[in-house]
Order: sequence, then C-alpha cells, then structure tokens
Amino acid sequence: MNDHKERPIKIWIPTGTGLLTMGVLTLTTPLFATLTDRQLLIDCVAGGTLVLAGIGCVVQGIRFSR
Amino acid sequence: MEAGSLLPNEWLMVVLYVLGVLVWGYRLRGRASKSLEDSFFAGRQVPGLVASFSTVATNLNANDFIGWAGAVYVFGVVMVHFPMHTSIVITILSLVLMKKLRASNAYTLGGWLGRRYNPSVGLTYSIVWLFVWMPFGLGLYIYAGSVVLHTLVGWNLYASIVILTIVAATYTMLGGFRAVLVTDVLQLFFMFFPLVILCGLIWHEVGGPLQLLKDLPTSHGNLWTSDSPWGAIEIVLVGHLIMAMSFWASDAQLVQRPIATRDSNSAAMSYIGAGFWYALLVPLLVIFPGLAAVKFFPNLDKPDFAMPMLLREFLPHGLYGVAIVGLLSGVFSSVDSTIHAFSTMFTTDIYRGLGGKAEGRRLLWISRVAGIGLTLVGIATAISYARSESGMFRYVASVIATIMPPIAAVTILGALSKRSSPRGAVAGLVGGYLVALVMLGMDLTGKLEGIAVDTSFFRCMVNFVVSAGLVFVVSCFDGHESDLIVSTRRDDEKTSWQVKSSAVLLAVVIGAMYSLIIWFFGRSV
Repeated sequence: MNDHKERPIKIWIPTGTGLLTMGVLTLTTPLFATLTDRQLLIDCVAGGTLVLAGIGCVVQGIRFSR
Repeated sequence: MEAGSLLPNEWLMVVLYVLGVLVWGYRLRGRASKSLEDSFFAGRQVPGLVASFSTVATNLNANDFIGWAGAVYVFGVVMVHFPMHTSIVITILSLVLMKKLRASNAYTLGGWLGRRYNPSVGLTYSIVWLFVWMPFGLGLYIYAGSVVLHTLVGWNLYASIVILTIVAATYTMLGGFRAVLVTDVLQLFFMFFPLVILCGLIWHEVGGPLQLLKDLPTSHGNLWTSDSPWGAIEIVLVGHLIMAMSFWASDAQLVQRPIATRDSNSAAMSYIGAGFWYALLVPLLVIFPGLAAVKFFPNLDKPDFAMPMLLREFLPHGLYGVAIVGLLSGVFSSVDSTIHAFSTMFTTDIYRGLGGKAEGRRLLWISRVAGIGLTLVGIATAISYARSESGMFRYVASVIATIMPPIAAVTILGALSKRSSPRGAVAGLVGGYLVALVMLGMDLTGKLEGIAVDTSFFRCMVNFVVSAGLVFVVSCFDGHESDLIVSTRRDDEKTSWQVKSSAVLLAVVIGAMYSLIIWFFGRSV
C-alpha cells in the first residue's frame, strides 16, 4: 500500500477553466439586464479579472503538463 | 428578507459549476479506484500551498461567513479577536503537531494517537468523531448552506438539502481526495473574489473604517467589551483561544490536509498558509462588512441576514451570480470533506482496527458504502434541523465544547512531550469526558447561569485544563518515553528554512495586525 507512484495533482487547468467560465458569464450580464454605469464598470472589472486569472491558470497548467 | 432572483447567465454559472464538479469527479474515478493512498490522500503528493487553500476552504464555509458577520452585527468589533486567535493557534500547531503527524505516515489522527499512545486511545477518538461529531457537523453544514441559498435565491429548502448533499457525495466518492481538493481551491476563488470587491465597495460607501467607527453605536466599537453572552472578556479571550486550539488540533477534516502533503515541511506549510488567511483576510472580508451592516441595515430581523443583505445590495448582477456559486461551493467543500474524512476513518480506524481483512478495490467499496451511509444520516440530520424551532447552533457549539478539548489536550501533549504516557492519555480522556459531561449537565440545568448565558467557552477552558492536567500528572508518575516522538526528529524531517521564514513572517503579520487593531479601536473608543 505504501509503494505508490508519484502522480502530481493537476489543479491548474480545472481551476483556470472554472475561473474563465465564470468570468465570461459575468461579462455577458448586460445582455440580460440593464445595468447602471457603475454596475457595468464593476462587472467589467470583475469579469475581466476572472477571465485573465483563468487564462493564466490554464497556461500554467499546460506548461506544467508538458 | 425577500429572496432575490437570478438572471439566465447566473443560472448558467450554477448549472455549469455543478456539472463541472460532477464531470471532474467522474474523470478522476480511475485514479481514485487504484489504491487507498490515491483515494484518501491523492497519493500523498499534495503541495503545501494547495493543502493550505483546501484547509481554509474546508473550514470557512457559508455558515462561517454568514454566522461570523451576524455575530459582528450583534456584538461589534470584539469578534475580531476570534480570527486573530485562530491564526495564532494555527501557527503554533503547524510547528508543534502537523510536522510530526505527517512524519509518522499515519492515515488519520486516530491512527497517530493509536501508535503514539495505544490503540484504545486512537479508537476512542475515531468513535467520538465518526458517530458523534460528524453526523451533527455534516447536518449543520448542509442545513446552514441550504438556508443561505434559500434566503438569497429562494430555492426550496428541502430540495436544496437533498440535491446539494447528493452532488457533493457523488463527486467525492467518484474522484476521491483529488476531486475534493479541486473544488476546495475553486471555492476559495469564487467565495473570496466577490467578497474582496464587496469590501472595496463598502469601504468607498462608508468613507473608510475610521468614519464607519464614528457612525457606529459605542458598544460596537469596544474591543474589550464583556457585553456578550459568553461572559467576562477574560473568559471570551482565553476560552476562544482554547476552543480554537481544540478544533484545529483535532478536527478530522482539517488534519487530513497536512497528512496528505508531500512531506512534513509541506504539512507545516499547509497550516501556516491558512494562518495568513485568518490574520489578514477574515478581519477585512468578514468583520468589516459585518460592522458596516450595522450602519446600513440597523433593524434586521435576524443578524444572520447581515451578509446576505450586503451581497444583494452592493453586488451587481453577474458578480452576484459568482457569489452564489461561491456559497454553493462553500457547502460542497464542507460536505465533501466530511464525507471523505468519514470514509477514510471508518475504513482505516474502525474496519481495519477491528480486524477487517478486505484489501484493494473491495476496501474502497467498503469506504464508499460508509460514505453513502453518512450521506443519508447527514440529509436526515439537516432535515431535522430544518424542522426544529430554535437552539440548533448553540447545541452544536455545545457539542464542540464537550467533545473536542480532551482529545486536543491528549494530542497536543503527545506531540509536545515524549514523556506523555498511554496511561496519562487514558486518564486525560476519561477524566476530561467525565468533567465535560458533568459541566454539560450543569449547563443544561441552569447551574452555570452565574458565569454566562452561553457557557461554551468556559466549559471548553475547564475541560481542556482538566484533561491536560491529568495527562501531565499521570505521565509524570509513569516515567514513560515514546519512541514515536524521538523517531520524528530525524535529519530528513528537519524544519526547512521556508517553513521557518514563513512562520516568522506569519508571526510578524499577526503581531502587526493585532497591534494595529488594538491601537485603532482603542483610540477610537
């Protein structure tokens, strides 16, 4: 039971995919509701940050998996 | 508080998240079926940073965010002591206990106690956790998370309880610890990210913490107030410190993270990383919004509505959906960790401890059947909480104060001193639990009313001191020395410079943050 092989935890790609999906969906909010300028700004900043973080995680995951 | 509604893209976030965790669990099913090490500990290859994310996510669930912010709404800044105490305790335990726990290659804390003292001590821990704490705890996590989603989005309470639990149990049993780790890391992002933006928006709205403090009632700005149900401020401070110590030293889900790390230094890093979250982020992301809620919504029906109201009022649609996914994942991460820890402990400590011979996949199936059993019990417990009128949270806090201190005292003294003997541990457990039950009886019959309305902290303090005292005194008479403690002082388990520097940095951060809080609130009052 103790002779396990080393199998690294692959956490970057699923995390990045999740962040990317949430970011893109946050950015689609103006399609479904009327937002004030301030709300639009907050959504754009939040959605953009999530998308960038998601892309960063996916790229990191691809680099590690090579 | 009326339930809000979700836009189509926010519904899509929820649906994709749920489908995503199920698909991920299904993809990992092959690995989780290969061996106990893979299923229970992700092959013991978890990096310290990932383990620290998972530790925070497991502990900070929807219940904590809502409950802590609600308590701040009622009692004010005195609550800021709690996360600071937690970070102090985490720093100490990371160096004193977690390194030794990982170095021993134990499967569970019960397993370590069994080897450190004797099998009966380990079995006592496993039985208490498996059959007393975990069913109560799981029911609470499920119920509290479902209530939050029911309040915020209007989902049916009973349907939420059943569906959320089945989803979490399914991916946990399919994907094992690897699936649990990924959802924990995602939760941390989805829960904290909206809170960071919420904190910024509140900061802007109130004009900074100093202005906020001027607008609050005087009682809410008093860091040293005794005006809480837990009695004198000394009891609150010492009692909470000991309760945090008991919880973080003995909770099965939490200690499973360091056990699954690559080595003993990563185990220490898993707790040190969690300490930073508590010292820096909880005061900013939970305490500060809780205080702001007093200004914005002074007449809430229930204090627990404070955080949901802030989320609804300040976050625009879109980001609000991310926050709902964060709360949903908060429920998942607590439920999956409890089910996973239960399966591990039942299989390794109870089934094998009682002489079970099954190996390989058959053993994994036994662990899954145990997990299914706990899932059903958790659903039933959560539904019974939903039907009870009141008193649930106090009752569960009372359970923690009763069962955790004796185990924590035995564990900590076992890690600290090789002279702590098996007979001392048995005396500490028996004496500690006897005192705990007597004090619980006194509390329930109103004989402790002179001390406080809620005596959880006081009882926790007494239980811990009695248990630790018994372990120490009986061990002194025994003159026993444990080989296990000696064997963990090998060269390859020496504390790395990264752990040392991180621990020092964390201590500096805690000291600076605590001093800043004391200076700030002391000056303002």
